[in-house]
Amino acid sequence: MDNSSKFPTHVYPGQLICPEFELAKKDDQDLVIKYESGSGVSLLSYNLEGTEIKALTATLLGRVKVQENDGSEIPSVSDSEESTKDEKESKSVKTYTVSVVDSDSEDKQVKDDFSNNLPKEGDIVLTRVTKITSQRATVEILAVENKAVPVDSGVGSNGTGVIAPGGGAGAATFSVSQASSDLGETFKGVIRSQDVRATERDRVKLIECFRPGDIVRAQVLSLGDGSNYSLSTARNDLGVVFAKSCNGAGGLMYAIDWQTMVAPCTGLVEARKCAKPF
Amino acid sequence: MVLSVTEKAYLYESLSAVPPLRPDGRAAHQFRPVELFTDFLPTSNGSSKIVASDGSECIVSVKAKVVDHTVDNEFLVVDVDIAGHRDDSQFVLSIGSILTKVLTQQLEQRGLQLTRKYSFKLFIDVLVLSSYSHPLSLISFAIYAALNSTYLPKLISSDDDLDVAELPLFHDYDLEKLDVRVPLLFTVALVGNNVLIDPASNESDVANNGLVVTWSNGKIGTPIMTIGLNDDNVKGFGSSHIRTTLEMIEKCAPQVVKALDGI
Amino acid sequence: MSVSDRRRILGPTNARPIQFAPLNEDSKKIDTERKNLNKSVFIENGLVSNSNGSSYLETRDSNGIEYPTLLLTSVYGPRPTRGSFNSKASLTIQFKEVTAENFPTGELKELCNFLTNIFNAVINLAGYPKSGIDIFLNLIQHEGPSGEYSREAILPTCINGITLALVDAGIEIFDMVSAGSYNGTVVSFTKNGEEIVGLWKDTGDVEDLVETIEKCKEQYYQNRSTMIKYLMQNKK
Repeated sequence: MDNSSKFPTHVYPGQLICPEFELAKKDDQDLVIKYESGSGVSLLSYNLEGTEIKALTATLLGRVKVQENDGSEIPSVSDSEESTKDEKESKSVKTYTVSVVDSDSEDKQVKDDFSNNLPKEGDIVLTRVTKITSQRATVEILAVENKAVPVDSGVGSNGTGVIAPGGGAGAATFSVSQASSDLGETFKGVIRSQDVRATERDRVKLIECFRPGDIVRAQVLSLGDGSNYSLSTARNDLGVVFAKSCNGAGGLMYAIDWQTMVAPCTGLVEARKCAKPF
Repeated sequence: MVLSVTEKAYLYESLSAVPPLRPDGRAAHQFRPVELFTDFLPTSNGSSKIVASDGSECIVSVKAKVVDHTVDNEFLVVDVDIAGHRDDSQFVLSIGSILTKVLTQQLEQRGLQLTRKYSFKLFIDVLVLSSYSHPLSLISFAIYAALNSTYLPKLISSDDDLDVAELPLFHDYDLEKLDVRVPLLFTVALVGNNVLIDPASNESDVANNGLVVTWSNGKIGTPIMTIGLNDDNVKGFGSSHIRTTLEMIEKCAPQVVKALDGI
Repeated sequence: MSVSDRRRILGPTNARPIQFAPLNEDSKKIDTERKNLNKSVFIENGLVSNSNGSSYLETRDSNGIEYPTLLLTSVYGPRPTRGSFNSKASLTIQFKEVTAENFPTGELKELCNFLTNIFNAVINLAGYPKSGIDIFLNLIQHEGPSGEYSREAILPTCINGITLALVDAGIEIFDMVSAGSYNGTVVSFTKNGEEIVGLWKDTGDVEDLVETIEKCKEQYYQNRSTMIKYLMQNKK
């Protein structure tokens, strides 16, 4: 039905994959197939003998993946109008998302995005708390869930390894005090006290929710400002996943309910905003 | 001035229309008015100051020194200083490099030669006091005016010192006009299918690409190269753009030269 | 003005400076022909283990090993930038000569500026907000024909190197950008030669510019297909 089998399987950046729209027939009905660009694919316009033509183009090296979008078979033009016309004129649209994935992504247990490791709006991220005030918790983003960490993992010219003579993009404003506890630099985020939990938002005491050093699972609300992403833990499955008692001096603690954690060997109980484990 | 996404889209559409609608009402081949003063620095051999209509300002000073060209064959030093940019930034250094390259290539060293051993070495100091669009073209106009108003001491000793070692001797007050043909640099912005000469800052912000074209000895010369006018709207262009650019420069440049020579 | 050296023996008064006979036309011709000959390339990606992506290129004349150009390119990032909010990534390209310094700093910065402009056009910068992408070029060895050092000779290699390193890093690029050079003119193309993203002409005549661009395009096709062949054989 769709022509995705005719698409190239392995692509390189700049290779054309398919047009934006395609016409097909299904049960004697005209079917418009729309291909949307997923990750690693861009819709670019090309000049062919004077006319602009748009085509989905690979921007990464890898394998083409075509996925049908859910509930996509929506009639395009309003039905009432079309029912009066000839049957053949009614068209429905089917959309597919075309993306390019790393050829050996299956072995790596990593889902689609391998290049673009940047936190996007709505992504779930794992973070480490670096600083607490009464208004906000400052965290550093360690990884985006279901995504590979890039090889240099932020360890670039400013970290160890290859020393960049003139420094890179971050070098001009880079200072040691801003360096994360790991080598290199990480993206920073803030969790405002209002975004810690969904209920009783204005009564949140941050010191009873997070402590520096905790590993927190959070969701990206927005890209935030120049230096910080806006994050939220206002969901049951978001919050502290790993924490050590006594500000990190004690042992690893386990969540016993959504706001308490206990260290099994000492029996010490501390308050946290815990993430629902499963 | 920072433009919003919508403003940029509007500007891009109007600049890529046929004919292009430029925000200041200019035609595609039209320059912004400039004011040019020469010979105002008493301690330099030649100087010029250029003020563009958007407030961009540039001062150029030319000084000369007698050197032994058998030892030091570099006859020209260009030093560029742009307010608001670090001296070792890519922007300033690459403008300096382009200017050095074009002047060393196109100026005739013979015009500076005094004797078989000694010649003048020119120090061209460029100071951009304020710039809102890419300053290369403005600087080149200023250098043109400065070099064409440069007077150097007149040599009174013999110009052949190969047989007899002799230091060049100059007249006490008589000066000689420096006779060199100075190349000009033109910047154009490529927006859509249009080519716009002398792009203003807002036009540079939305330009797809930029080109620098050299004009020397009454024809288009080298270097010709692409130049980034902004960081985020850069795109490729067709070879037809190059043709249009060259045609446009061929038409405009003689008029620019005429205007600059009229000073 | 320094005083002239009176202690030096100036030699006989009728001495003339030494002059060499000009090169005969034939040897010059061979030299330019050789310059424009097809080059053989050795490509290896991913040699720099701590970078996000890297490429190593060896370009040499197909008829011998006389003038190899060795270039190592590494890509770091996307990594966070500080300061104001940027909806697009900012790109920095730095060039370094590893073994011998043959180019003045200003010329190298101009080269970097030119390369940055090319890659601003082909990297999907909008896909990397708030980040910086750093590219480092390390020229290990280069010697132009007849021993001179020209930026034109290394530019195509730089462009190819950056493209390969970006692909290796998995950073989204709209096309495999590459370049060709002919008689000192370097032209960089995308979209199968339809669009020019970089033009560098330092010397020579402007009259035949269109023809030169066509010649560069031929080399561009070759370079591009070599790179694609390399990438695809490694992926399948």
